Amino acid sequence: MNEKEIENKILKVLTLVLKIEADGKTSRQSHFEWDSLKHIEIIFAIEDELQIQFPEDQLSGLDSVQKLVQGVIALHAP
Amino acid sequence: MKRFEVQDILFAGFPSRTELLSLNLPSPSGSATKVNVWRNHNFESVQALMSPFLSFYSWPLEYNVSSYDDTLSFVDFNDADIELIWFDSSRLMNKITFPNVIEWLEDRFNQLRSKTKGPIIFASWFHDITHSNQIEALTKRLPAIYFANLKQLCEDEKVPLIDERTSGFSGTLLSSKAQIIAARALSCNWLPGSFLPPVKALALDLDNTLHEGILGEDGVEGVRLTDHHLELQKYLMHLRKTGIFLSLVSRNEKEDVEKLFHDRTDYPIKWDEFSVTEISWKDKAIAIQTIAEELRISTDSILFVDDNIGELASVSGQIKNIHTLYASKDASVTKRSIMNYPGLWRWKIQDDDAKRIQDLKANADRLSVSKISESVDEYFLNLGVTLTFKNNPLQQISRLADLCNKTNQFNLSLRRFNEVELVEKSKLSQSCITSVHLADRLSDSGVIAVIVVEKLDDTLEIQELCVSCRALGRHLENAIIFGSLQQMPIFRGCKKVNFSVAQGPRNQPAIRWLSEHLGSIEALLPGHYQLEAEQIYNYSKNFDNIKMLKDLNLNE
Repeated sequence: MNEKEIENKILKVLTLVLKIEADGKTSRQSHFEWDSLKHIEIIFAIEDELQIQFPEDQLSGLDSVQKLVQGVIALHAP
Repeated sequence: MKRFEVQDILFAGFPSRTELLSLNLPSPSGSATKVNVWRNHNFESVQALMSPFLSFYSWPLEYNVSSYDDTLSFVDFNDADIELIWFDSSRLMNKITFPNVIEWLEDRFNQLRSKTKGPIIFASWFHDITHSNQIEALTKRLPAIYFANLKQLCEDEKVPLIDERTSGFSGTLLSSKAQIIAARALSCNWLPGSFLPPVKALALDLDNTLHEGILGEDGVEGVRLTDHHLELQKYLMHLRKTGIFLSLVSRNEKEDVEKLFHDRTDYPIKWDEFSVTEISWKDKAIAIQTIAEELRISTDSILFVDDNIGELASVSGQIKNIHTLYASKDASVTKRSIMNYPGLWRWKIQDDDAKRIQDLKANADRLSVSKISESVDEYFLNLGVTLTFKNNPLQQISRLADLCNKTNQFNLSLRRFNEVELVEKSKLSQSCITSVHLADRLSDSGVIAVIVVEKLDDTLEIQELCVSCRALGRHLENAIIFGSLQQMPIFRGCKKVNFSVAQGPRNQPAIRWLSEHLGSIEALLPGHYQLEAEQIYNYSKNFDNIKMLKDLNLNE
């Protein structure tokens, strides 16, 4: 899966969970809907969708589309 | 998205969180069932996941979610239909010992019970199985309180219960998968099992439902019992053992279907295990109505399962409120859809539930006895009918509450007492609850009637009078009702008996019975009607050929 495909999956999850039109610039700072409860729903949904598990120490930092994409790529890195 | 496609997502082996959230089904309309949620950890995430299941079944819920409260103080209580305690027990177990936990929980359950007579569901987990067992025992001891064991659920579904990584953010220790499974169990089993009317029978299509293939084309040996169909049939047999009627409704030649069940010894379901079979080319809606009549149940307590969407639509269009499910090509989905159908899953399986099927089977023999008997008295004598009355039987309260809430045809006042109300009534000196057990030489029908009365001066007020449909058509109504009244200690000295009548959609048999005793030719309107106590004494002399026993409580 390439970076664009990962981003599309993440945007789909954000749109579903936050019920907004998410794009590559969407972040917790830009959207008040992305509160702590929604944050964990997003993490769970991405893990479910991509069959991955983020390490605990990264969870709080994954607060934008870009960081989520990089987080997934890092998990897939050899 | 079509209903049957939704079914494949909801009842997949493990539903995907994103697929669940993308379903976007229309919200159910109508009067909502109110649920108070008392919690000390995050419930909102599970609530969001419950939506697609509730929409699929068109069951609107209205939640009143408390703030996080480890003390379960139940402040700001508002009336609701169901109380859900959504509780992370580890927060308590870190502070006090388990014996103190049990004591504290009992106190909290009693506190909540003092505010409501409705069902209380305690959804939690304990890592030590002996602790779970003790909580289970505690809730079984208390009326209408149920333990939804999240640890057991996760073990059964083979998913992790806890995700320590995320507890700091999510406000709960429950893992993502545990939340999904809990949402399904709450929506499909736990909440409906405490509140919704039960499904009593399955009307099952045959081809591409109970097996793969078409009998008329593939032949007896050509239709395939796949592993998943085998598991489905085994599960259906399990349901039958719990008192759910199995019936077959199929467009086929009857002799072909009989031959199939005779020859295919690999089928777990045998021909005789269907309580009713309707094999013909007629309209399935008509066939299902016949099944309902033979089972003596209403069509709204039947779940019709078919692989033909057109049939499902046609039956739904013709029979109001019938339940329907699509039989998926993958029979494991069909099995899980049935397992998760609201009203089929029950908190308690009672001995009396399992007797229902055998009792119906005996009806054919009763009919033969009736034909050779020259009078009703001789019929009773030939059958060896025994009625056993028991006053204020606390050990039967759950069954009696079931009767109050499930009986629709012979239910005079439709008061529908629940377990808690019945326990309270049984403690009042001027009240009496009588259960009636019926047996004859053909079968043990179990507890088939409940009467709740209160004495006011010289008058006995009948507040609830329910006779199960399995006792109807056996000429026993008078013996059951008048026999119950006459043996009650508080009947002594009474001059009048007041009957309260409510009009329901299906309680005409009860109203007709009272109307005949009042000598009325007009249909009775809702209200209060009176019989003289002497009339009941005199009538009771007619029961010489029925053995009437009294099962004494020590306090009588």
